[in-house]
Amino acid sequence: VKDVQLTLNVNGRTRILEATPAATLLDVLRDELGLIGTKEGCVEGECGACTVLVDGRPVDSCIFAAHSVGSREVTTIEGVGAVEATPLQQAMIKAGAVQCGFCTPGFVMTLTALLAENPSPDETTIRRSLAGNICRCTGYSQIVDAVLEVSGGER
Amino acid sequence: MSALGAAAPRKDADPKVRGTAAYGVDVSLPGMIHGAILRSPVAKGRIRRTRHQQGRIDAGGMGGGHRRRRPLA
Repeated sequence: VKDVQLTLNVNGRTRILEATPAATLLDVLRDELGLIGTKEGCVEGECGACTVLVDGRPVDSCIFAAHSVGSREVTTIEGVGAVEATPLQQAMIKAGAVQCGFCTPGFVMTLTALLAENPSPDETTIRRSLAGNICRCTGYSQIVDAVLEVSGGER
Repeated sequence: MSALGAAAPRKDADPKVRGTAAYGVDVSLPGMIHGAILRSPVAKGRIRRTRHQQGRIDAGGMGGGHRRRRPLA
């Protein structure tokens, strides 16, 4: 199958590249653009390790066709806290919300989108928003604690 | 013994929350080939032969080329 040219807006930059028609957004981000902060976990849209934002909404990039992104803005973990950790990221560090860290970029993306939409989510809202992110170190409570820390909410 | 009982911040937490921490799967070196351990699909089975082609291994690993491909097993 021949590669097809693709233009993507990633982290505020316009990138032009070639990818097979079936390439996933994850394939393109990691293998073509070298944005390896986005992780490949289950490759079937269950674990959320590959979560990125498309026009601000979290998507599983492992099951999102690269050619279907169109002119929408893609934000990866490289576009969040590039210079220094955001308040959410700082709170995650402080709360002990990071263990092996493989799921962490996905959690950061989902939670960044949540906080952009709702700066003060309650615990139930936080937990529901994380339904698509799995942490096999199982440190969920500390992750929720970190969000509550920045949102000013209570457990 | 002031460290005992105290919560110590993880030194690797910052690169992990910002996506800059490198994992084994993120490392790609020139000429790097990929390997996989194949085991018998049945318990206590005896491996008599495998069906992968030696030529593909010689050509630069299971995937070949610079792109990372899914392993065969």
